[in-house]
Amino acid sequence: MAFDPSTGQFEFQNWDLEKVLSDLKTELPAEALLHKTAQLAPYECDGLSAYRKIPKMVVLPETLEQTQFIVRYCHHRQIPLIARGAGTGLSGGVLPIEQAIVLSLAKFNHIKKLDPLQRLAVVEPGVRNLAISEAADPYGLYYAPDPSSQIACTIGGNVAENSGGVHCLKYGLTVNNILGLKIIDSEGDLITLGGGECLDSPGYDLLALMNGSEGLLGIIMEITVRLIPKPESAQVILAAFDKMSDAGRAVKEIISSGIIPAGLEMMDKLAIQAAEDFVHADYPIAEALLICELDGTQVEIDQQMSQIESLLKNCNAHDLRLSENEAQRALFWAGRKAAFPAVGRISPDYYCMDGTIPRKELPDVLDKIAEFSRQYGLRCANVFHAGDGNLHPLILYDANQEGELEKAEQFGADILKLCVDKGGTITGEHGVGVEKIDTMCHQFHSPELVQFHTLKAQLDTNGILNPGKAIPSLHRCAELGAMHVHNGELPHPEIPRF
Amino acid sequence: MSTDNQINIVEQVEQALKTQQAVSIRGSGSHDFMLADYLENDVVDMTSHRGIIDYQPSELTLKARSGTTLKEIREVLGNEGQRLPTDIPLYEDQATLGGAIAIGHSGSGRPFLGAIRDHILGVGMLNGLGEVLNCGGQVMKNVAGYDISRLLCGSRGTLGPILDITLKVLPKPEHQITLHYELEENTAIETMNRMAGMPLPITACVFLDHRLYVRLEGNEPGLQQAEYKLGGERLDNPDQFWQQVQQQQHPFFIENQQPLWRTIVPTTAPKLELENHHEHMIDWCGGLRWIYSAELTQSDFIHITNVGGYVESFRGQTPTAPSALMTPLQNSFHQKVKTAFDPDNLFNPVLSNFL
Ligand SMILES: Cc1cc2nc3c(=O)[nH]c(=O)nc-3n(C[C@H](O)[C@H](O)[C@H](O)COP(=O)(O)OP(=O)(O)OC[C@H]3O[C@@H](n4cnc5c(N)ncnc54)[C@H](O)[C@@H]3O)c2cc1C
Repeated sequence: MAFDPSTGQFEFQNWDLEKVLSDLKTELPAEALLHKTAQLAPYECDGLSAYRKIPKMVVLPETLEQTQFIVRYCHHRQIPLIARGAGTGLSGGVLPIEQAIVLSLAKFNHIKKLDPLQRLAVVEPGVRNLAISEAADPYGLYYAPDPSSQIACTIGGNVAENSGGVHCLKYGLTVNNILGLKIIDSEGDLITLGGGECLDSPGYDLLALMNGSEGLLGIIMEITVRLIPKPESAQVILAAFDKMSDAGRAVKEIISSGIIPAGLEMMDKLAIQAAEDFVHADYPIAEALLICELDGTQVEIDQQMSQIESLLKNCNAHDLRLSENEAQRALFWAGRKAAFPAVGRISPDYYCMDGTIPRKELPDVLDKIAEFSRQYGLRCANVFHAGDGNLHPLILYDANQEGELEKAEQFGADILKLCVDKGGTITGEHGVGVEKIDTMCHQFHSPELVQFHTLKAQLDTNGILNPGKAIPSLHRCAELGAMHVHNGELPHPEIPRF
Repeated sequence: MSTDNQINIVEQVEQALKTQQAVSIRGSGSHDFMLADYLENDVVDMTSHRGIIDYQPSELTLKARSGTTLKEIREVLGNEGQRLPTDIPLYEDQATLGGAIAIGHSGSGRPFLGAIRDHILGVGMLNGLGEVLNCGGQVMKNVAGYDISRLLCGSRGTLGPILDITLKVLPKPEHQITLHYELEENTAIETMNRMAGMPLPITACVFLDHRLYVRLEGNEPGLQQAEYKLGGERLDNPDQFWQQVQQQQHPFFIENQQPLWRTIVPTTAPKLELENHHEHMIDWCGGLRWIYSAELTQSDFIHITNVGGYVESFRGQTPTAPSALMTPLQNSFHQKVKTAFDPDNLFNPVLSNFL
């Protein structure tokens, strides 16, 4: 068997390139089949470029029927298949594995329908996130989830990762903004999930199941997204703090006050400095910076903003700056949105983490991260979606220095374990991919992992869809020694441990 | 009121597994009227597993055992100026949180505030192997592992008993007003959809008896401005109106003795032209049509399908099995999910007949 659901182990046979090429050519044009090294190079990694592997073959279908043919073919031949959007993922979700074919959905980039009265759009998976909002703009509507990568990432990738953005505190993640999907299942059949143009559907919430499934449960071919009215106005306030703990307290006070900001972001000194040097966003240099956006009608904002200002002052904020116009608001965001590349300028390499914690643990977790930073001798810049407790510590390292990458990875793993121990999770929005496969063992016990594998095995009997990602095999967790031990008994004692 | 009955529930499921005798998972029974008779097996009584486990107002999260009543949760949240994030239909005071999720129906706020599933952060559950699974968590964002928590919405106990649930809760808006307008039905449907596309704090639109009701929530200046834009008349005692709609205590829901049908259509679908129908009400900004009819005709069903929707019997008629509303491929997808969680078909077998 290619895939064993009780353990999550899989094994795929070697296949003959010439044979597969000639078989696929019966339904696909030659240009849609890439197999020369130069053509394959762009597909060797995603946004997590520390992991790379040239795939054996890439297919670029143009029609639904071609895609179904490919999936059916791979199912019968037991060839692993990796769906790929724009490749901006940050967890190695599209990293090729041995013997895999990469299925690029780049050609599916059409908006099939946009109905302003119904406030929805029906789009193909390769449509870029921002393109949807641009198409909806003339009607005063937009698609709310806005990952920082929105100019490049695809909506199919967004669904597969359940991506978030700075505005998801108020408007939700991808899962909350999708109404329906058409997927190709592992056997090549096209299935409609969710309500589509309806707001409900009979049976289980399979739409939710597909969100964040990282290409393991089906190929997403069509997405019905919800569009919402663009707020009449939006305003940003910046606040500087001398102590991280004061900024953390301000976050808590704002949320408890009953106001849900459209965005509530925090940066630490290293990140502020880097962003300021890079984009000159007019940030005050301080230990911590809070960026709070309110949206709605101007009168609503005015009232809430005065409340926020006094809350901030009570938490010892200084240098309060309120955006006076759209240009200034954009500038205030520019620093935050460019934080990753800005940090990229001050270090040869950085490693971005994505843990989420209950907001109240913020000060404590930040202290611990600072302690790890000293221990490992690596700097760490903190940028995060403070409003929903989603941290993005950026660990700075130099891959050319012997052993630094491993140190950075170990540092990152320590942060993620800390997040789990504080009641949080190892990933808030970037997904598990290959990157966090080991820390999954820390978050889940074996019954959950077995359940995940069983579910996958039911929906993908030959285990061809993006195998090895997202859910660790039990062997792997056992080897890591991270498997939770219940009542002194090891789960699955039959599995050998090394 | 708080009792932790997990040990007994686990034991009951382990027993079922050992004897291969199916069990019926039941909350307060407030939705029995819309379900096929599924109580033929030993009942696992989820109301015995109740109580709020953890409530953190400043985190906007609440974790409760599945048998906790919605009423209790509302009261506890209300004391802190918070509420459940979307209206959840509540027909009886005894209705439980677990039952609400297993049924998965949402109230009038659905198009604006989201469905009940949109506010689930995590669940603890038992699968058909008698194993406790903890999925999701207590934080706002979590994409580790498949989303088992939301998958359970609409599962009607067929994937296993839900033990506890963590919800995202929200602050209560400062004020609420309701505007109403006398309109012909098709004009009302278009009007509500147009209004929903405007940047205004609308949280519900209902049409009943030639009248469109639009609920707005927010701070005083925001509402005044919206009212100025939208015109219309202010409804006296709006809380009572919305409560009656949510709890199906409105005269529309109690005075008519005919069978009631829950019809889901695209929000912009025009007035349904049905052969055999008595009266109806529009909720969900057009997306939900409550219809009284002794019996819908074949051409009524076809009409509803043609506008892109579906209809299920809600009360007073043979319950519609969700499987009857699915394509064969959707059916088999459901069956696979069911098998993955409950391979021996131990949980609510009557409600699990997908094929
Ligand atoms: C600079 C930068 C900033 C970022 N900021 C954010 C942010 O703010 N928030 C956030 O959440 N993420 C962010 N990301 C991460 C990334 O952009 C998102 O995860 C995005 O959703 C990935 O989309 P993609 O099209 O690039 O998918 P890919 O990277 O191509 O694929 C991602 C995963 O989805 C699967 N997949 C892709 N398409 C399909 C499909 N049609 N059907 C089934 N499976 C599919 C792949 O197999 C893979 O597992 C950022 C990335 C970068 C580089």
